[in-house]
Amino acid sequence: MIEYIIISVLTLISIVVLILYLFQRYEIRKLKRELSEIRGEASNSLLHFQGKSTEQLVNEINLMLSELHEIRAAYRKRDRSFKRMLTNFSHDLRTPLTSSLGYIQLLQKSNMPEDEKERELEIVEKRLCRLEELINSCFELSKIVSSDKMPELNDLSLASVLEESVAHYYDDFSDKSRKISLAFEGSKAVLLSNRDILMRIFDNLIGNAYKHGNSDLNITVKNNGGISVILENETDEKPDVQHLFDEFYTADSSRSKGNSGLGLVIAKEFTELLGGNISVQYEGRKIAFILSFESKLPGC
Amino acid sequence: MIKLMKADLFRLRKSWILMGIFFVLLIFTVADSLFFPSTRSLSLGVPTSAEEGNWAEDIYQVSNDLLYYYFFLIPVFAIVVRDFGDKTLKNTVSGPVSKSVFFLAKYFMAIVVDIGSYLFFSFAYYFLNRIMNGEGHYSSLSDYSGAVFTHIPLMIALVSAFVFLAFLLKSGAAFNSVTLVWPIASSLIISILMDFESTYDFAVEKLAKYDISSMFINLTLSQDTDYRNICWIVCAVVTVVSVAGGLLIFNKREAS
Amino acid sequence: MQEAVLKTVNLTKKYGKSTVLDSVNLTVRKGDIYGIIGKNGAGKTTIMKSILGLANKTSGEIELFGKSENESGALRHRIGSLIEEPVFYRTMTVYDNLKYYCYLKGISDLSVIDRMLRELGIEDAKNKKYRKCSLGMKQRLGIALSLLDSPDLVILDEPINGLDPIGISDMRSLFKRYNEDKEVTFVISSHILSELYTVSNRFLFIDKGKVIKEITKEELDFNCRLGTAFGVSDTAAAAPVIENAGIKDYRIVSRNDLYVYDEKPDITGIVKNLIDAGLSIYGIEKTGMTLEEYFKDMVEEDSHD
Repeated sequence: MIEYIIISVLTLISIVVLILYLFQRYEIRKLKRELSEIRGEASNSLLHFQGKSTEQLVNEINLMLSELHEIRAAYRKRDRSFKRMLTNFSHDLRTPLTSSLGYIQLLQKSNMPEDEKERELEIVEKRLCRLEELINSCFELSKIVSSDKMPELNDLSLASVLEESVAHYYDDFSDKSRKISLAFEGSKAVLLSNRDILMRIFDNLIGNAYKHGNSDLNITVKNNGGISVILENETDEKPDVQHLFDEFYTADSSRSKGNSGLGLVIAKEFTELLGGNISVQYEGRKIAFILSFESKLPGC
Repeated sequence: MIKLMKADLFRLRKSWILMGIFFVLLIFTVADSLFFPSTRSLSLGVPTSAEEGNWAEDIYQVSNDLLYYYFFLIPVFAIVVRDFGDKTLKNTVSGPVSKSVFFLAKYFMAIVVDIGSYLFFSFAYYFLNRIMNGEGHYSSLSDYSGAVFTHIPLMIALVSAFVFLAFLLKSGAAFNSVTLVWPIASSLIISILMDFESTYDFAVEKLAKYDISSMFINLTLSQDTDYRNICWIVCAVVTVVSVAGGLLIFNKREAS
Repeated sequence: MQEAVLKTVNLTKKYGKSTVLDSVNLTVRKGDIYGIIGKNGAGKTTIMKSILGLANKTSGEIELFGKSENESGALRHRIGSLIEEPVFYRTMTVYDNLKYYCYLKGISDLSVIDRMLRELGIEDAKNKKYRKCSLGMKQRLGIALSLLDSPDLVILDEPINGLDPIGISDMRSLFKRYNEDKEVTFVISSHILSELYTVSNRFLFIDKGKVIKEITKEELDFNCRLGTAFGVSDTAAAAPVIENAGIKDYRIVSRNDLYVYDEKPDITGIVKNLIDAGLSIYGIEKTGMTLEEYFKDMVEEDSHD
């Protein structure tokens, strides 16, 4: 009697184990099929729950798949950006080039008086300079993006770099009856940075304010814990603040304003290269760019 | 399919009010017999010739399971009719679940909940009765199980028919009217037929004996094996027709 | 060229005697945001229902992800959809509703629910019973459900119904983001042309069940943008002339074609200047119209045939 019981219990257990094993194999087979489908079709799908025994594995694989999707998405974004840059680039090159050509042809053919010819030549020169700027910015950006070298860092006084940059544009601003004001809050700002790059950042931002703004430019430097430089002015344009730092965004068509649109992007790349942060706030007609850096306290 | 059942189980847990009513009703019917043995509870239908025999109360309890007809409606309502009423089946069917799988999953869920509750409560009653009321009030386990299991084909047929009706009628109102009215309507028809001499025999011999309420009582009490077999065949047929019919209709119909 | 994610060939649907869809041919490629435009009752919803199996087509073929119908059943989980109005279990909360569908679809990581709620901006309604939600919230929940299982193709029937202007703009950015970053293909129907115009890259114009036109955005732009097209002998020489005339918004398209986008250009003046400069003019054309005009034009054109 007792043998029968033992035998039946054992058989029962073996059957149960066998069934569990078969279930697991089935689950794994289904998962393998799902996974090859995802891979083959470059699908966004994740693995689906097949059974308790493979649940943990599924979750882990899904985490990896999500990462993979994110990397792909980031790549596509970059790729798209790049392609957009190239397209805009060729458009922006063609129009001024063609019109410059046209002007030159005009000059060659016509019997214009000398001073008119001079005027037209000036226009051509401006156009070609703009082109040169465009090409240079492009090279500059690609250099930053592709180089791995760290810039040389020294202790700098923020104020001196900023003041020099302001001086570059002071005349341009006054010609338009606009002022640049500089205010310092907190102690003297000293940071570990690269003078040329920092100068470039300020140049780009102030130049941007000049080209797209229509009011006085107020620059404030705050030094309390961290260093922040705030550049504020008013503008009539309606910038798309989400995309201001995307390669080749411009608030106005580049034909009319002569702006490659890369100024802000370069400023951003440079700022991040120096370990800082840049952001923008836009409300009503006021736009403010905010740079923040870590301060180097004297004596550290 | 298991995923759909698991999801529906989650949903049933969330509609605890409805399911709560279901379980409370079950408890009441059982409690009544538990606490007041020796009294016959609700009885409908026509028993066969005085084959009353010598049974303990618990067998009579089983034979009075007609109430389950009404109880079974509740889970079917929650599981199937809700999806039609809220029209949420659109979300499921347009997804990875095919129509056939959808139907079968709902069907099995209904069976599991309904029959499962039936078995659970029947046997809970048995053991509680045995403990509480003692000698003379209970039958042997095998007798009781036998009685309970004779009802299973009938229950399955009922649930199948309900699920079929739910898929056919779609709306909650229609479903409720048809299912609730049916027992009364059928009794009415039978008694009308019994009024006429020509149809009297037919009414009594064929219709009344196989009416649902009678089936409930007689399956347990009667010793007539022929009768039983015929009942079970009828149940099997109803089950098969309901499932096949349901699948066909649902697949053919448009889902919205 | 990207491969076709969805293709219908001669899709026809009849309800008894009336033909709701008549030999509809369309192709949606991977990465498209495909807009289906038509009046109410034109058949937009019916097309979508047929694709998803919610309505039985009378004849024709539907290919999903390059596979015919028999094989594509297993691929349904790669499609998310919202057809007609959103439906959910009225007595359950927003969170529980999505949880139900997670169980149903076999999604074991429930954190996706919170993420979806946040993306659609309804995380505040998380514990609200569905029947208590506003129309806008219900609509967003419907869209959340369509995106829940990381789909590759999303089919939406008038998704911006019931949304306020900010909601519409949010949804637009959401679609763009999913489309650009995750390469999700969208098929969206609407009768609000301007909204579809801003997001879609290809369009299907449909009327009375028949396809009027399948067109890309570039072609649409070309047909619709208001401007004047000048055909000249030499655009290089024409450019300075144009600029002297004070035109700033112009574009050199090729050696002989020049588009002027000023709203009211002084065409006579331009022509005179060009001729004075010694250029020949091959043609002047007014281009452009609004989207509504274009659509009406097409529909009327078709009914005249």
